[in-house]
Amino acid sequence: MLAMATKMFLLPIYLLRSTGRDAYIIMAINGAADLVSLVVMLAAIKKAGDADFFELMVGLLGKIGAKIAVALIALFLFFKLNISVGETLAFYGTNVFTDFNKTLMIIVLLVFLAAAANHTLRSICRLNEFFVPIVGLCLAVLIAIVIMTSFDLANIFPALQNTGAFKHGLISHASWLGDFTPLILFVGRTKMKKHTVWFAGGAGVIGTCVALFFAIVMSAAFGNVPTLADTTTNISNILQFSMGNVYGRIDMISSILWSIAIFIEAALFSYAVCRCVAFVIGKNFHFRISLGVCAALYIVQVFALVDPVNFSAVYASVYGSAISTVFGIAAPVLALIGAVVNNKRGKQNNDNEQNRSVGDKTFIKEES
Amino acid sequence: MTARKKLLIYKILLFIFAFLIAFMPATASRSKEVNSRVIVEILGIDGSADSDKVSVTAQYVMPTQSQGATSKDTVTVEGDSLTLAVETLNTALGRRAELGHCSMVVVGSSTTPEHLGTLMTATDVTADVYLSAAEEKASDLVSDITEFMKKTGATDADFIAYGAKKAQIATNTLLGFLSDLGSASKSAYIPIVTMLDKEKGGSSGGESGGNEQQGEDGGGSGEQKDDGGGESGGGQTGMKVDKLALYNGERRVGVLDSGAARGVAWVSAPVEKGIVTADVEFDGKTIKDVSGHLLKKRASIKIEPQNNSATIKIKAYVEPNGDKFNELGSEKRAEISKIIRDAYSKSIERDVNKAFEDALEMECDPLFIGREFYRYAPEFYNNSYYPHNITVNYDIEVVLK
Repeated sequence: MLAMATKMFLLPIYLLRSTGRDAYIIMAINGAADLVSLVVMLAAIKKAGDADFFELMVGLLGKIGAKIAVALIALFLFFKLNISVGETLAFYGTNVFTDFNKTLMIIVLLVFLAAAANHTLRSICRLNEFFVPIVGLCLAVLIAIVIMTSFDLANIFPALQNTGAFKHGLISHASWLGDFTPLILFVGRTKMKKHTVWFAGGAGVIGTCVALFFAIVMSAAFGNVPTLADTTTNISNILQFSMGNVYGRIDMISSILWSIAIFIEAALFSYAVCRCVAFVIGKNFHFRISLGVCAALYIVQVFALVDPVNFSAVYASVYGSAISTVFGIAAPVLALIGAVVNNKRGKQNNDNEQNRSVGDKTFIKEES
Repeated sequence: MTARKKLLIYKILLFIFAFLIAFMPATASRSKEVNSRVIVEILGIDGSADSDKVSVTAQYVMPTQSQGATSKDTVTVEGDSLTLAVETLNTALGRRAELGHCSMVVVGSSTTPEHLGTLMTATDVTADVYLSAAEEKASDLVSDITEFMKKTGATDADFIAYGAKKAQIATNTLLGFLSDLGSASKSAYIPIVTMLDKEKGGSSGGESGGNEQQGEDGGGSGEQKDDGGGESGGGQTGMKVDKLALYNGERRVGVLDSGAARGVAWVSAPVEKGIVTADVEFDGKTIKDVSGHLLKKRASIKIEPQNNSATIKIKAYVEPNGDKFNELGSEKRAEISKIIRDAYSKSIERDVNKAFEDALEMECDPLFIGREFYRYAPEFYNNSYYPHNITVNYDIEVVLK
């Protein structure tokens, strides 16, 4: 949850370039929208009981309707998976290695994603538990550095001086909405006790706050010169900008944090895509499905999104934002409606059964 | 498919993958030798808006045969643009110059901010690299610094760490410089580095406007003296960093002297160390240069658009040096402390005011007063702000520790 909410990816760079110092406000609006989705999703998980998301969809939309809905959600998840993978490749290609063979190195990532999709949701979560302390520690160190150095956070002022750019940013840079969509897979598989709800919600809130904090830092650093931000810009540059480059490789901390967060998120998206595809085709061929998804991912990344300009054109566009907004809202709402309808039907069935049993007893009495 | 078969497929895939990674052309053809790389530590840029040539001087290190040793040298190349000059650097050095490790960029007097913008966006030089300005040509200064480093064994990191934290001089990074220029103040500064020769070095202790720069930290001027580590004879023996080059969006517009440069450091830079000096009058006597160590300071600018004024507030924690402080006597300690506090306050105010006045003459705003108006009173800034009409007040508080 923490990793999903920590959106320290490249998208804020595109947002920053078009919106300037107001980028953090758009980030805050999107973060708030995502948190509302999380609350709806948690409510759905709590209400669903033992029925999983696919059963809820079948109950709500019928078998064909459910398959169509899940297919669309799978496409959206694939879209999000492409964002994560595209950003990962851009990060390693521009920041880490001078000679980065994308067509070959992507295979490393695909092997990891295929392995994640072949395992259970439980195993992915257990893996995440192992990384959470590292993520937490890195976050704490980075935040401490920003606070303790004389970083000029006041450079985010004045706000909303260019309302045209702000509006454009708001409608065209919402691709990071819907990061909590993979949680549909937790419906019917998680026992939502009171503390589970609080922990999950709390992690979401903390992650969103961290993302917002770093968005503020980036907006403050590049507020005067937004056009200088590019894909090689990351949070470590900004930290060193405030304190100079005499402190060695503190950028390693943010690189570790960034890598872990995006790998976890990509693994979850990959897993979710494969499960949705399995439901749509009605076969549990996990291995073959994961290979197919990885092959599709390879084709999109290597042939379609090879140019960062294409990447930004797709993901920092009104269409990309509209898709993310629709699915970011639709998936949790569908899950919640499905859970409520399922509960009502369950109750009605129980009432009917009770009535039937009472009727049977009366009939037996009358007969006797 | 059984688990056994799956496992076998995984193993085969992993083996193929490992094989590909190990023997793919990029890996196999990459030279593993560290001495095939050239690391650029300092980069000097000379270019002007009028000329279509840009000259780049690089101080580079190259590993040598002996274990753990490196050789330091410089090379100067020229190109039609900055990016072409940087590209030519690779040819001149015979291998790819690694600019990602460059920790300082020296800027010549005619170099424009546009060159620095290009440097950040079009080359591997990072945003956090420190900037230093040469009085004239960057190539000469890079060569002199290299000679100095060779003699003393100092590294670029020593120099930068010293400049950033210990000297009472405002330092700036590449992104910081460009960000300052892009702000509402449209001004930025870079510290000027000059080399001292032996003769000058011996007599330069008191040349900072009567404020003798002495003390463990090398003094407020950022001056370093050769402590015998260098070769005997002539040549460079140390560096001096006590002036600031001021820039507007287009070019260098002037130089702030040491007093004004200290004023900028008081307000605009996160200086941790420094020396405060003042002449103190007590009981009819004048004690010259009563000095104290700056422990920490806080600075802020409070704007009052309705009065067309701004107040620069500084709170400085200073520890007086013992000798001259004690010379004033110990009987009236409270009274003496007050007099010293006032004297220090006046000294700081004098520096800051000089920075403001001198910069105003150059149409610059290194104290970033305009930026504060833009941040907190954007309407006033857009409609009524004119730097020459702003009255600047000072609220300096000194706390003796």
